[in-house]
Amino acid sequence: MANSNLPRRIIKETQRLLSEPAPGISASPSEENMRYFNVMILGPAQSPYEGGVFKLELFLPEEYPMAAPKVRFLTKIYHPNIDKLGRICLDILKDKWSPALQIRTVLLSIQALLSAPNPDDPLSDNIAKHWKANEVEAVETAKEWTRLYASGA
Amino acid sequence: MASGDSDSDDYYPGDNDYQSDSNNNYGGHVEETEDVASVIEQSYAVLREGDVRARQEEDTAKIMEILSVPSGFATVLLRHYKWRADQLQDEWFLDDRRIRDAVGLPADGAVPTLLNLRRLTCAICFGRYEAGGMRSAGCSHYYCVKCWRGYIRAAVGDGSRCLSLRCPDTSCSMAVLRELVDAVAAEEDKQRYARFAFRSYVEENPRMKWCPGPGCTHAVEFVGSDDGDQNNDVFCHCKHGFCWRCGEEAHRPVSCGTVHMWLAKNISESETASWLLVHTKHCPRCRRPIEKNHGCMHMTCGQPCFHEFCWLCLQPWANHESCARYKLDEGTLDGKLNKEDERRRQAKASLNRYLHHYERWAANHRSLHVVLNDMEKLESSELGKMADALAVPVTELGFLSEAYEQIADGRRVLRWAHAYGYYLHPVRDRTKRKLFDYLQEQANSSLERLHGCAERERRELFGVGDIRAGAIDSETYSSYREKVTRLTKVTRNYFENLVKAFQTDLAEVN
Repeated sequence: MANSNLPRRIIKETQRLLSEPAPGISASPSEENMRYFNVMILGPAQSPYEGGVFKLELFLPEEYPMAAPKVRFLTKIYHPNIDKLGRICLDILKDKWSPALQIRTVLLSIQALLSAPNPDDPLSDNIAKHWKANEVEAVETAKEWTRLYASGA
Repeated sequence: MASGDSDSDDYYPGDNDYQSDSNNNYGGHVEETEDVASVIEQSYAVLREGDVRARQEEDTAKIMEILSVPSGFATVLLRHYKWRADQLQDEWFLDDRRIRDAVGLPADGAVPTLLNLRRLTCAICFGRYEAGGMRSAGCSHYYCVKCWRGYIRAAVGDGSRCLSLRCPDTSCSMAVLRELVDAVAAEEDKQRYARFAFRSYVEENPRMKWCPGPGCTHAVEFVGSDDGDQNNDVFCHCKHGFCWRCGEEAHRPVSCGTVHMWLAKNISESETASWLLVHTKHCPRCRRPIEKNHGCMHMTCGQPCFHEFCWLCLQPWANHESCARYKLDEGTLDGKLNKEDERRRQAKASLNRYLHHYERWAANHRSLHVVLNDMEKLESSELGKMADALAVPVTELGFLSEAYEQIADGRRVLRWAHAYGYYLHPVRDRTKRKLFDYLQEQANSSLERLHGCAERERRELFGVGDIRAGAIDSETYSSYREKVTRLTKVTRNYFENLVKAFQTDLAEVN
């Protein structure tokens, strides 16, 4: 059973995510697998993603918290640090991961990444190029995509 | 050459028997060269694993004493300074605060790890622990031993990065030191950590490298300056020779740039493509590859096909008149075909040139390996047997080892000479080419004579397997010894000239 022997830490983190959710973020574990979370992040105000509701999936690997959670956007998003498969380029999900970080801190970082795209460290080359060549136009595309794909169910 | 018998001899380059010869002039007559021992000024030392360990411990102990810091602190500091203990000392006493901040060490008097003094919650597993049940990296962020163990295991699994591990709290930069690792980690992780810590002494030190020879565990410390065009070849005790600068096999006197160009060329597929382009086309009927080896364009495929066609237009030969007439009629196409011809001709010439050099480059390489094998056999058993047969001490036969060293060196130089030769322009560098060919032929024929004498004649004289005591009379032996010694000197002289010419890029003809 995936849920047997769930570490105390994961239980505690889950309880807190449900009882004191961070603003604009919701995360709830799946019923079949307590290590798999359905996540929703609201597009931050004053960002091209404002008004959008973005779905993500988050999985806590067996080594968690010694290894970072695996997070991916499910909603299509036009962002230089997120590729078309929804994979996210974020240092704390890779080499800067520390077991002192938590699901909450990871999701807050992703929310912040939506407010501050970083085209100098791109995951999607084309979008990053677009962003650097013509930011106004790229932001328009991001807004357009938000309307098209993230307008909420 | 670095072939000292004891470790201590290798430590102090310059402080050895060869030093006195280093001022010899190699341009002089062969007969004037007194000693056949290699006289290349030794600018490096070979260290065995135990030597490396001893040096590392010595450096660490010195820093612990002078800076009065615990061992883990000293290691972190030395690594930060790439193991240059002197520079660390100088800068430490100017501004130790700055250095502490850079490497994540606490203020003076602190210790590498602390235990919690009251009941706390571990920020990793969220468990509650009594006083003494948790540790920190000397800072105020305490975690339970189990979480520390997992933290260190994950870091060690990532490789040498574990040596730069910091406190898990992302706002804290305190370094995780060896003392903490030893206090909490699992036994196998401690050992892996220790291994990385040991290897860092060579890998992070710009003056040290592990010998890349297969299976070799020695390290080489380079004490010369590696800028400029001087000789950067180093030779390990395992007989592997490599270039200090680029790590490729020893390639004196050819520059690293030429070597890399040449090696890249050898692996590139474009040569193969160009070979096919020049040599083969497919029979338009049976698709068999066909090489054109005569001048005329009338091609006949082999049995059972026997298809006859025109090399240029690939049409059946019966129709090839149209091909010829077409050329006559169309001036522009005629020009194109001639251009095509010219391109093929050039590609073929360039390919022949490449193959000429490649064949010789590869042959000398193979030969070098045979020589190194023979040397191994010679030194491990054959010299002893020969010495017994002659009733002389083994040291008496040192002239043979020297001959073999010279042969190996010659093969190496000749090998790379061919890479150099390839990059001489066939037209522009015509005079250089002449000098290059002349010097190389001389060196080559001298080397062949020496090689034959050391290898074939030795086997004829002494036999290969068992040698009877007193089988060789002293006169035969001394004339053989005299011959080998003389040929070694002559060959060395030729090669010194060749190397010199290379190092000045054949400047004499400019």
